[in-house]
Amino acid sequence: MDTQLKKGLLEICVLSLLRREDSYGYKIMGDLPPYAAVSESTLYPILKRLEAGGCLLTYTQAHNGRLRKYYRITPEGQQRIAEFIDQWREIEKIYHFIIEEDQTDGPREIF
Amino acid sequence: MDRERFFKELRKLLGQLSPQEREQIFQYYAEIIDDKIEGGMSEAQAVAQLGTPHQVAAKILEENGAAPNSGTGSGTGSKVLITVALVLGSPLWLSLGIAALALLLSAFIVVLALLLTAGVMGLCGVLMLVPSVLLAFREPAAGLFQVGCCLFVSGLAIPFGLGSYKLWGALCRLVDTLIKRLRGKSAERRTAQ
Repeated sequence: MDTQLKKGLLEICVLSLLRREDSYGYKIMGDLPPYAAVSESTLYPILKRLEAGGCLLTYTQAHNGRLRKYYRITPEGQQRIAEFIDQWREIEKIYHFIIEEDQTDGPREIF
Repeated sequence: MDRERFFKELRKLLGQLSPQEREQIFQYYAEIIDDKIEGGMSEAQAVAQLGTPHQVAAKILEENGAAPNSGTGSGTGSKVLITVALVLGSPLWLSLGIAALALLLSAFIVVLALLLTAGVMGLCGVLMLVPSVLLAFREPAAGLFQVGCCLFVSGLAIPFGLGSYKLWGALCRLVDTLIKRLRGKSAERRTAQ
């Protein structure tokens, strides 16, 4: 898949996880589906970009005597998911158009 | 590899980043290592799963559009170099900047002068109209000539006035674009770091 496209999709995946509940690095990695799996080093810039874009905010909480950084989705993050879904409904229509064209039989006559 | 060695290597490779950014990155990875150990892994396993320090550094810097440090020199070193170059070069860029500002200012003053001229011409033309008409009753030729002059002068005021108004607008737009470009350049530099 195109790298830029994948990056964008992964960002939305992470936001979707945060829509259900606040989470932290290691948990996000585990909760992502296998087809959207990422390494720690891929996830870090994704989280950074989302934070820079105002789609999520961070806070720290103590856990077993150490500090853990939690991520929470913002209204802008919710908006981003909604925009993504709308955009992909459009893409789906175009995709079906292309698929149907692809399946018409025989070559067209050229005058 | 144990975590201490991992972070030591990573610190060297990420030398070009700011200390705050480096600390954030280390905290992120340290937390993940701790979570993995809590999940039952050994420290060596947890660290190994992250990849080599070089791979990790490459991925991080890829986002910033740079390549990992070969080892020597730090980010703060190049920043000092840039500041020194700026200071040493200041007679050049500073005086060029002042010259450019002076040019811009004089352009505004010229436009204002044009506007003033237009105003004065219009006023004179209108004020002289009445005496000129009165003169025309006594000396038709001379009077009509003067009336013509008045109309001509006050008529000139229109293009002068409109011209200076348009020029003023164009200058303001120019300043606007310049400011936006300068802001864009400094924002670019900030995100690149």
